[in-house]
Amino acid sequence: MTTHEAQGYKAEMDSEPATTATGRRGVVGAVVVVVFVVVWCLAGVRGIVVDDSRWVWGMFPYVLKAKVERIDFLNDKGQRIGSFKLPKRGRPPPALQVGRSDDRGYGYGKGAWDALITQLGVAAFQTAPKNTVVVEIQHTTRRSEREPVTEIVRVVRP
Amino acid sequence: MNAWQRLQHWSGVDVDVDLFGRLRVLFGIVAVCKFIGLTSPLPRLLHGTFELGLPLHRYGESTFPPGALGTSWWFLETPTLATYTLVETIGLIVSVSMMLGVLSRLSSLAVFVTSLWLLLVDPAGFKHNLWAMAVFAGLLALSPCGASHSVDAFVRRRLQRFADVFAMPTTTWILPLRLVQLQVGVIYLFSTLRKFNDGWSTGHLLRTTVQQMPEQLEALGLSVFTPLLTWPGWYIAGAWLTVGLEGFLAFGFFSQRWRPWAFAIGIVLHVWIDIALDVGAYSLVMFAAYVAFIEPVPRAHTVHLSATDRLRFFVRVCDWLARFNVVASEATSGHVIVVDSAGIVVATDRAAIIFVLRRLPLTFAPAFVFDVVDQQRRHRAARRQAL
Repeated sequence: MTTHEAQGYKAEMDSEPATTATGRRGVVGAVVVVVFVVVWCLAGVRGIVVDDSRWVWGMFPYVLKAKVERIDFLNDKGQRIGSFKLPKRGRPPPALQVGRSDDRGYGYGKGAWDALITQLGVAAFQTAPKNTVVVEIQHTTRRSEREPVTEIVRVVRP
Repeated sequence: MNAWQRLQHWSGVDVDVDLFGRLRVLFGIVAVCKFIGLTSPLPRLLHGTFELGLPLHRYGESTFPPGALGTSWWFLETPTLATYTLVETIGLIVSVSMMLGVLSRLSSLAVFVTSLWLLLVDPAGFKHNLWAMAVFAGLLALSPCGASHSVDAFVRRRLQRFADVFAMPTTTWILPLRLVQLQVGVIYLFSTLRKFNDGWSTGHLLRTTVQQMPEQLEALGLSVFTPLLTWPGWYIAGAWLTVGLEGFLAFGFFSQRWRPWAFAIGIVLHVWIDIALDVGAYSLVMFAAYVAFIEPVPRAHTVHLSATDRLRFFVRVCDWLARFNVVASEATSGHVIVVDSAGIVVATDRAAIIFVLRRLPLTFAPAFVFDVVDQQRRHRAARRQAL
């Protein structure tokens, strides 16, 4: 069967436009689309610039680049495991500073930092006897990409 | 028509509500899978971490004392374990509700809210797959996603007998669908941009993510391939290949010409990711979102074939995305004809069969590869003939 014959076979078929545009919706839609893309892209760019995975899309390759800078962040000062709560807002006290403390005072790659510390804490907590558990980790920061730093993290099972 | 006018048309037209209904069902299934832990099954089975629950309570990996770490957002207080468990249970219930289409828009909104809350209070870092799922559910809540494939639609059709006020819309504004499409592009764009750093480009991170691959291969009785994993070139090549493919996916879906390639590459990429890595519901979320790029006109083509043609039954059973009307008629004299909505014949016979198979989810991949190879073969033959 040729295309021409086939066309003739179905010549009686109704034809309807698939879509219809509306004026005001078109303008509003275009504005919303532009705003959506700009806002999401700005959030993504912010995530990359400040190295904070909470603001960027996709995976975050810096997970393994977090670094425990201060051992006393997780140490045993007669406190329980619940005491190493991450600092909330503003500049944390020096004893709790982690990562690039000079500019933000927050962890290095926030989501990455949280994930790493949680993994360490969970691992230590699950395997700990009643005494202190020492976890050794080796990581780098952006400043010392080529020089891995070994840190000791101590966790006390409550 | 200039760019602004084209953008207005792109985001301002009306479409059939059918696609929103299908998207809602798919994202509902993904949300249920997420809440019961049915995600990335293979790597988790091999690592022995696979578990199912109704719902799967994984607050601080279950054994970590609640509140030990706090949330990473200043405006959120750390919830108690009971609160977390309650919200997670609600999340599962509203996911099922979204899947079935019971109070569809409200359910979608509830999936958005519960997913977002669980994400923000999670002490174990930021999970992008959960964020993507929340955003897609939120966008669906903006659309009349319950107007088809839902309990809502069923009930409203019954009630419509008594009053027209219960009638469901058949068409709607395309904007939420466009936002879903753009969301897919944004995710791939920033997945690509984020990978331009030493950790990824040197293959270090990729190597770390597959460090348990030797154990997996051994479990599968394929330890003979283990030495291959030690060559660093694989990881550098794989890292850059991933950057290239994700970069392509960020834009490829928006080109009608490259869209089939984007589907094929995306499916292969996500199947590989789900085999190699535990990435939560990421692949499932993206697979569901891919459906947003299927032409938003249901039954846009009609397949005419003879009543005895076996293809008729196959198309009716496998046409999950409602892309074809199937008309059986002896007038076709054994030929297969595909006609578009304007009545123009798109393809006949062999070309028509390939056209149909390329648009069915189950047969898309082999039909696409066959079509590409066949086109190349015909192109070469034509050139030879011309010479």
